[in-house]
Amino acid sequence: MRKVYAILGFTLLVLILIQFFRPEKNLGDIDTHDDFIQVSQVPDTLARIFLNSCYDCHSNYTKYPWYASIAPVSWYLNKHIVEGKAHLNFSSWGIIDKAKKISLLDNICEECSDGVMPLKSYLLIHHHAALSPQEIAAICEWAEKEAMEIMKSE
Amino acid sequence: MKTRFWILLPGIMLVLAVTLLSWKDIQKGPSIPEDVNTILSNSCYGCHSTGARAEDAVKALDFKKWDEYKATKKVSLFNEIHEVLEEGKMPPEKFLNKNPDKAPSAEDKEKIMKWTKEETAKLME
Ligand code: HEC
Ligand code: HEC
Repeated sequence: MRKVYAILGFTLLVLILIQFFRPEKNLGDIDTHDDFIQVSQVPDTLARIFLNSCYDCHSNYTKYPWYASIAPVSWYLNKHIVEGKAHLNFSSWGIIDKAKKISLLDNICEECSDGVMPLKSYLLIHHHAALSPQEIAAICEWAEKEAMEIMKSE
Repeated sequence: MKTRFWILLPGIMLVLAVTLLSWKDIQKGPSIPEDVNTILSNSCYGCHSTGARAEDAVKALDFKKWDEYKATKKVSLFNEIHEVLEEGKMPPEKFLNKNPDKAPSAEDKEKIMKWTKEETAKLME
Protein backbone atom coordinates (compact mmCIF):
# COMPACT_ATOMS: atom_id res chain seq x y z
CA MET A 1 0.00 0.00 0.00
CA ARG A 2 2.75 2.38 0.96
CA LYS A 3 4.37 1.73 -2.37
CA VAL A 4 1.19 2.78 -4.19
CA TYR A 5 1.06 6.02 -2.23
CA ALA A 6 4.68 6.66 -3.02
CA ILE A 7 4.09 6.19 -6.72
CA LEU A 8 0.97 8.36 -6.68
CA GLY A 9 2.74 11.03 -4.72
CA PHE A 10 5.70 10.99 -7.05
CA THR A 11 3.47 11.22 -10.13
CA LEU A 12 1.62 14.15 -8.62
CA LEU A 13 4.87 15.88 -7.83
CA VAL A 14 6.09 15.43 -11.41
CA LEU A 15 2.78 16.72 -12.74
CA ILE A 16 3.05 19.79 -10.55
CA LEU A 17 6.66 20.41 -11.48
CA ILE A 18 6.13 20.20 -15.21
CA GLN A 19 3.47 22.91 -14.91
CA PHE A 20 6.30 25.38 -14.48
CA PHE A 21 7.46 24.72 -18.02
CA ARG A 22 4.94 26.63 -20.04
CA PRO A 23 5.22 27.21 -23.75
CA GLU A 24 4.43 30.78 -24.66
CA LYS A 25 0.82 31.07 -25.76
CA ASN A 26 -0.10 31.94 -29.28
CA LEU A 27 -2.16 35.04 -28.56
CA GLY A 28 -1.06 37.63 -31.08
CA ASP A 29 -3.12 40.32 -32.69
CA ILE A 30 -6.04 38.77 -34.50
CA ASP A 31 -6.78 41.26 -37.25
CA THR A 32 -3.60 42.39 -38.84
CA HIS A 33 -3.91 43.79 -42.32
CA ASP A 34 -1.87 40.90 -43.72
CA ASP A 35 -4.55 38.43 -42.72
CA PHE A 36 -5.61 35.85 -45.31
CA ILE A 37 -9.33 36.58 -45.06
CA GLN A 38 -8.82 40.28 -45.68
CA VAL A 39 -6.02 40.13 -48.23
CA SER A 40 -7.61 37.43 -50.37
CA GLN A 41 -11.14 38.66 -49.66
CA VAL A 42 -12.34 35.24 -48.61
CA PRO A 43 -16.15 35.02 -48.88
CA ASP A 44 -17.93 34.94 -45.49
CA THR A 45 -19.04 31.31 -45.57
CA LEU A 46 -15.51 30.13 -46.28
CA ALA A 47 -13.93 32.59 -43.88
CA ARG A 48 -16.02 31.06 -41.10
CA ILE A 49 -14.77 27.59 -42.02
CA PHE A 50 -11.11 28.67 -42.00
CA LEU A 51 -11.50 30.52 -38.70
CA ASN A 52 -13.30 27.60 -37.16
CA SER A 53 -11.20 24.72 -38.48
CA CYS A 54 -7.74 26.04 -39.27
CA TYR A 55 -6.85 29.28 -37.48
CA ASP A 56 -6.08 27.62 -34.14
CA CYS A 57 -2.94 26.14 -35.69
CA HIS A 58 -2.37 28.38 -38.69
CA SER A 59 -2.61 31.92 -37.37
CA ASN A 60 -1.19 34.17 -34.69
CA TYR A 61 -4.20 33.62 -32.47
CA THR A 62 -5.32 30.33 -30.93
CA LYS A 63 -8.59 29.87 -29.05
CA TYR A 64 -7.40 27.66 -26.21
CA PRO A 65 -9.68 25.23 -24.41
CA TRP A 66 -9.40 25.38 -20.59
CA TYR A 67 -7.20 22.31 -20.26
CA ALA A 68 -4.75 23.71 -22.78
CA SER A 69 -2.76 25.32 -19.99
CA ILE A 70 -2.04 22.00 -18.36
CA ALA A 71 1.23 20.28 -19.19
CA PRO A 72 1.79 17.96 -21.00
CA VAL A 73 -1.32 18.87 -23.06
CA SER A 74 0.07 22.38 -23.46
CA TRP A 75 3.30 21.02 -24.96
CA TYR A 76 1.45 18.85 -27.42
CA LEU A 77 -0.73 21.74 -28.59
CA ASN A 78 2.23 24.06 -28.79
CA LYS A 79 4.11 21.67 -31.03
CA HIS A 80 1.23 21.61 -33.51
CA ILE A 81 0.86 25.36 -33.46
CA VAL A 82 4.56 26.02 -34.01
CA GLU A 83 4.74 23.48 -36.83
CA GLY A 84 1.45 24.52 -38.37
CA LYS A 85 2.46 28.17 -38.44
CA ALA A 86 5.88 27.35 -39.87
CA HIS A 87 4.15 25.75 -42.87
CA LEU A 88 1.29 28.17 -43.26
CA ASN A 89 0.47 31.27 -41.25
CA PHE A 90 -2.77 32.89 -42.33
CA SER A 91 -1.93 35.97 -40.24
CA SER A 92 0.99 36.84 -42.49
CA TRP A 93 -0.62 35.88 -45.80
CA GLY A 94 -0.10 39.36 -47.20
CA ILE A 95 3.69 39.12 -47.10
CA ILE A 96 3.98 35.68 -48.71
CA ASP A 97 5.24 35.82 -52.29
CA LYS A 98 2.86 35.10 -55.14
CA ALA A 99 4.19 31.72 -56.25
CA LYS A 100 4.19 30.46 -52.67
CA LYS A 101 0.60 31.66 -52.23
CA ILE A 102 -0.47 29.72 -55.30
CA SER A 103 1.32 26.66 -53.98
CA LEU A 104 -0.33 27.01 -50.56
CA LEU A 105 -3.80 27.47 -52.08
CA ASP A 106 -3.24 24.30 -54.05
CA ASN A 107 -2.13 22.49 -50.91
CA ILE A 108 -5.05 23.79 -48.87
CA CYS A 109 -7.42 22.08 -51.28
CA GLU A 110 -5.28 18.96 -51.39
CA GLU A 111 -4.80 18.55 -47.64
CA CYS A 112 -8.53 19.03 -47.01
CA SER A 113 -9.53 16.66 -49.84
CA ASP A 114 -7.16 14.00 -48.55
CA GLY A 115 -8.57 14.39 -45.04
CA VAL A 116 -5.14 15.29 -43.68
CA MET A 117 -6.28 18.71 -42.47
CA PRO A 118 -7.61 19.58 -39.93
CA LEU A 119 -5.36 17.14 -38.02
CA LYS A 120 -7.16 14.06 -36.69
CA SER A 121 -6.06 14.72 -33.12
CA TYR A 122 -7.65 18.16 -33.33
CA LEU A 123 -10.95 16.75 -34.57
CA LEU A 124 -11.15 14.42 -31.56
CA ILE A 125 -11.76 17.45 -29.40
CA HIS A 126 -13.15 19.91 -31.93
CA HIS A 127 -15.93 17.95 -33.60
CA HIS A 128 -17.34 21.11 -35.11
CA ALA A 129 -14.10 21.64 -37.05
CA ALA A 130 -14.63 18.63 -39.31
CA LEU A 131 -15.28 19.56 -42.95
CA SER A 132 -18.20 18.22 -44.96
CA PRO A 133 -17.64 17.11 -48.57
CA GLN A 134 -19.59 20.20 -49.67
CA GLU A 135 -17.33 22.46 -47.64
CA ILE A 136 -14.24 20.84 -49.08
CA ALA A 137 -15.59 21.25 -52.60
CA ALA A 138 -16.31 24.92 -51.89
CA ILE A 139 -12.81 25.45 -50.49
CA CYS A 140 -11.22 23.84 -53.55
CA GLU A 141 -13.31 25.75 -56.04
CA TRP A 142 -12.53 29.05 -54.40
CA ALA A 143 -8.84 28.23 -53.88
CA GLU A 144 -8.41 27.44 -57.57
CA LYS A 145 -10.09 30.68 -58.58
CA GLU A 146 -8.02 32.71 -56.16
CA ALA A 147 -4.83 31.04 -57.40
CA MET A 148 -5.72 32.03 -60.96
CA GLU A 149 -6.37 35.57 -59.88
CA ILE A 150 -3.06 35.82 -58.05
CA MET A 151 -1.31 34.43 -61.09
CA LYS A 152 -2.79 37.06 -63.36
CA SER A 153 -2.36 39.95 -60.91
CA GLU A 154 0.54 42.36 -61.18
CA MET B 1 -11.48 10.25 -110.68
CA LYS B 2 -7.93 11.05 -111.51
CA THR B 3 -8.28 14.79 -111.09
CA ARG B 4 -10.09 14.35 -107.82
CA PHE B 5 -7.10 12.42 -106.49
CA TRP B 6 -4.73 15.21 -107.42
CA ILE B 7 -6.97 17.72 -105.66
CA LEU B 8 -7.05 15.56 -102.57
CA LEU B 9 -3.32 14.89 -102.54
CA PRO B 10 -2.24 18.11 -100.82
CA GLY B 11 -4.88 17.46 -98.17
CA ILE B 12 -3.62 13.96 -97.57
CA MET B 13 -0.05 15.19 -97.37
CA LEU B 14 -1.06 17.86 -94.91
CA VAL B 15 -2.78 15.36 -92.65
CA LEU B 16 0.25 13.09 -92.86
CA ALA B 17 2.63 15.91 -92.06
CA VAL B 18 0.63 17.07 -89.06
CA THR B 19 0.39 13.52 -87.73
CA LEU B 20 4.11 13.01 -88.14
CA LEU B 21 4.93 16.30 -86.46
CA SER B 22 2.64 15.69 -83.52
CA TRP B 23 3.99 12.15 -83.25
CA LYS B 24 7.42 13.68 -82.84
CA ASP B 25 6.00 15.89 -80.11
CA ILE B 26 4.54 12.90 -78.31
CA GLN B 27 7.83 11.07 -78.59
CA LYS B 28 9.68 14.03 -77.20
CA GLY B 29 7.64 13.78 -74.02
CA PRO B 30 6.88 16.66 -71.70
CA SER B 31 7.96 20.15 -72.61
CA ILE B 32 10.91 20.14 -70.29
CA PRO B 33 14.24 21.25 -71.73
CA GLU B 34 16.67 18.49 -72.57
CA ASP B 35 19.35 19.29 -70.00
CA VAL B 36 16.83 19.61 -67.18
CA ASN B 37 15.07 16.47 -68.32
CA THR B 38 18.31 14.49 -68.17
CA ILE B 39 18.84 15.42 -64.53
CA LEU B 40 15.23 14.81 -63.58
CA SER B 41 15.13 11.45 -65.30
CA ASN B 42 18.23 10.33 -63.46
CA SER B 43 17.26 11.60 -60.01
CA CYS B 44 13.48 11.90 -59.88
CA TYR B 45 11.56 9.98 -62.54
CA GLY B 46 12.09 6.68 -60.74
CA CYS B 47 9.50 7.81 -58.20
CA HIS B 48 7.76 10.73 -59.89
CA SER B 49 6.31 9.38 -63.10
CA THR B 50 3.19 7.43 -63.98
CA GLY B 51 3.62 3.78 -63.14
CA ALA B 52 6.29 4.26 -60.48
CA ARG B 53 5.74 2.17 -57.38
CA ALA B 54 5.87 5.12 -54.98
CA GLU B 55 2.17 6.04 -55.15
CA ASP B 56 2.47 9.02 -52.82
CA ALA B 57 5.28 10.39 -54.91
CA VAL B 58 3.36 10.03 -58.19
CA LYS B 59 0.32 11.66 -56.63
CA ALA B 60 2.38 14.59 -55.38
CA LEU B 61 4.19 15.10 -58.68
CA ASP B 62 4.05 13.20 -61.97
CA PHE B 63 6.54 14.41 -64.57
CA LYS B 64 4.95 12.26 -67.28
CA LYS B 65 1.75 14.27 -66.84
CA TRP B 66 3.59 17.56 -66.73
CA ASP B 67 1.87 19.02 -69.78
CA GLU B 68 -1.56 18.16 -68.41
CA TYR B 69 -1.15 20.21 -65.25
CA LYS B 70 -3.02 23.52 -65.08
CA ALA B 71 -0.90 26.66 -65.01
CA THR B 72 -1.59 27.25 -61.32
CA LYS B 73 -0.64 23.67 -60.51
CA LYS B 74 2.60 24.13 -62.42
CA VAL B 75 3.45 27.25 -60.44
CA SER B 76 2.68 25.33 -57.27
CA LEU B 77 4.90 22.41 -58.28
CA PHE B 78 7.75 24.64 -59.48
CA ASN B 79 7.65 26.28 -56.10
CA GLU B 80 7.77 22.94 -54.32
CA ILE B 81 10.53 21.55 -56.52
CA HIS B 82 12.58 24.63 -55.74
CA GLU B 83 11.91 24.17 -52.03
CA VAL B 84 12.75 20.49 -51.81
CA LEU B 85 16.01 21.01 -53.70
CA GLU B 86 17.00 24.02 -51.64
CA GLU B 87 16.31 22.15 -48.42
CA GLY B 88 17.87 18.95 -49.73
CA LYS B 89 14.68 17.00 -49.05
CA MET B 90 14.56 15.31 -52.44
CA PRO B 91 15.61 12.78 -53.53
CA PRO B 92 14.98 11.22 -50.10
CA GLU B 93 18.11 10.44 -48.08
CA LYS B 94 17.26 6.75 -47.72
CA PHE B 95 17.04 6.45 -51.48
CA LEU B 96 20.36 8.21 -51.98
CA ASN B 97 22.10 5.98 -49.49
CA LYS B 98 21.19 3.04 -51.66
CA ASN B 99 21.62 4.83 -54.99
CA PRO B 100 24.44 7.35 -54.58
CA ASP B 101 24.76 7.70 -58.36
CA LYS B 102 21.26 9.22 -58.50
CA ALA B 103 22.20 12.21 -56.38
CA PRO B 104 22.02 15.46 -58.37
CA SER B 105 25.26 17.46 -58.17
CA ALA B 106 25.22 20.98 -56.76
CA GLU B 107 25.40 22.22 -60.32
CA ASP B 108 22.46 20.04 -61.37
CA LYS B 109 20.39 21.40 -58.51
CA GLU B 110 21.27 24.96 -59.47
CA LYS B 111 20.17 24.29 -63.01
CA ILE B 112 16.81 22.91 -61.94
CA MET B 113 16.18 25.69 -59.46
CA LYS B 114 16.98 28.27 -62.11
CA TRP B 115 14.58 26.51 -64.48
CA THR B 116 11.75 26.58 -61.91
CA LYS B 117 12.25 30.30 -61.31
CA GLU B 118 12.33 31.17 -65.01
CA GLU B 119 9.27 29.09 -65.85
CA THR B 120 7.36 30.53 -62.90
CA ALA B 121 8.16 34.04 -64.06
CA LYS B 122 6.92 33.14 -67.56
CA LEU B 123 3.67 31.70 -66.22
CA MET B 124 3.04 34.70 -64.01
CA GLU B 125 3.45 37.25 -66.77
C1 HEC C 1 -4.21 20.93 -34.76
C2 HEC C 1 -3.54 21.86 -35.59
C3 HEC C 1 -3.93 22.02 -37.05
C4 HEC C 1 -5.16 22.34 -37.57
C5 HEC C 1 -6.46 22.54 -36.82
C6 HEC C 1 -4.98 22.49 -38.99
N1 HEC C 1 -3.67 22.27 -39.33
FE1 HEC C 1 -2.84 22.38 -41.17
N2 HEC C 1 -1.02 21.82 -40.43
C7 HEC C 1 -0.77 21.55 -39.10
C8 HEC C 1 0.61 21.10 -38.96
C9 HEC C 1 1.28 20.69 -37.66
C10 HEC C 1 1.17 21.12 -40.27
C11 HEC C 1 2.59 20.78 -40.70
C12 HEC C 1 2.90 19.34 -40.57
C13 HEC C 1 2.32 18.49 -41.60
O1 HEC C 1 2.40 18.82 -42.80
O2 HEC C 1 1.76 17.43 -41.24
C14 HEC C 1 0.12 21.58 -41.17
C15 HEC C 1 0.28 21.72 -42.53
C16 HEC C 1 -0.70 22.24 -43.37
C17 HEC C 1 -0.52 22.51 -44.77
C18 HEC C 1 0.75 22.25 -45.58
C19 HEC C 1 1.42 23.56 -45.82
C20 HEC C 1 2.52 23.47 -46.84
O3 HEC C 1 3.68 23.63 -46.47
O4 HEC C 1 2.21 23.26 -48.01
C21 HEC C 1 -1.69 23.03 -45.23
C22 HEC C 1 -1.99 23.50 -46.66
C23 HEC C 1 -2.62 23.07 -44.13
N3 HEC C 1 -1.99 22.58 -43.00
C24 HEC C 1 -3.92 23.51 -44.23
C25 HEC C 1 -4.83 23.45 -43.19
C26 HEC C 1 -6.22 23.82 -43.35
C27 HEC C 1 -6.85 24.35 -44.63
C28 HEC C 1 -6.81 23.61 -42.15
C29 HEC C 1 -8.26 23.80 -41.80
C30 HEC C 1 -9.22 23.15 -42.62
C31 HEC C 1 -5.78 23.13 -41.23
N4 HEC C 1 -4.60 23.04 -41.91
C32 HEC C 1 -5.99 22.84 -39.88
C33 HEC C 1 -1.65 21.69 -38.04
C34 HEC C 1 -2.99 21.97 -38.16
C1 HEC D 1 12.75 7.27 -53.79
C2 HEC D 1 11.65 7.97 -54.36
C3 HEC D 1 11.77 9.45 -54.66
C4 HEC D 1 12.70 10.08 -55.45
C5 HEC D 1 13.88 9.48 -56.19
C6 HEC D 1 12.30 11.47 -55.49
N1 HEC D 1 11.17 11.68 -54.74
FE1 HEC D 1 10.14 13.40 -54.51
N2 HEC D 1 8.78 12.48 -53.30
C7 HEC D 1 8.82 11.14 -52.97
C8 HEC D 1 7.69 10.85 -52.09
C9 HEC D 1 7.36 9.49 -51.49
C10 HEC D 1 6.98 12.06 -51.93
C11 HEC D 1 5.71 12.31 -51.15
C12 HEC D 1 6.13 12.49 -49.74
C13 HEC D 1 5.21 13.32 -48.96
O1 HEC D 1 4.10 13.57 -49.39
O2 HEC D 1 5.68 13.76 -47.90
C14 HEC D 1 7.70 13.06 -52.71
C15 HEC D 1 7.31 14.38 -52.79
C16 HEC D 1 7.92 15.31 -53.61
C17 HEC D 1 7.45 16.67 -53.78
C18 HEC D 1 6.27 17.29 -53.08
C19 HEC D 1 6.81 17.82 -51.80
C20 HEC D 1 5.81 18.36 -50.87
O3 HEC D 1 6.15 19.33 -50.21
O4 HEC D 1 4.73 17.79 -50.79
C21 HEC D 1 8.30 17.27 -54.66
C22 HEC D 1 8.22 18.69 -55.16
C23 HEC D 1 9.30 16.28 -55.01
N3 HEC D 1 9.04 15.11 -54.36
C24 HEC D 1 10.34 16.54 -55.90
C25 HEC D 1 11.33 15.62 -56.21
C26 HEC D 1 12.44 15.91 -57.08
C27 HEC D 1 12.67 17.25 -57.76
C28 HEC D 1 13.19 14.78 -57.15
C29 HEC D 1 14.48 14.58 -57.91
C30 HEC D 1 15.53 15.52 -57.65
C31 HEC D 1 12.54 13.76 -56.35
N4 HEC D 1 11.42 14.32 -55.78
C32 HEC D 1 12.98 12.46 -56.19
C33 HEC D 1 9.74 10.20 -53.39
C34 HEC D 1 10.81 10.46 -54.22
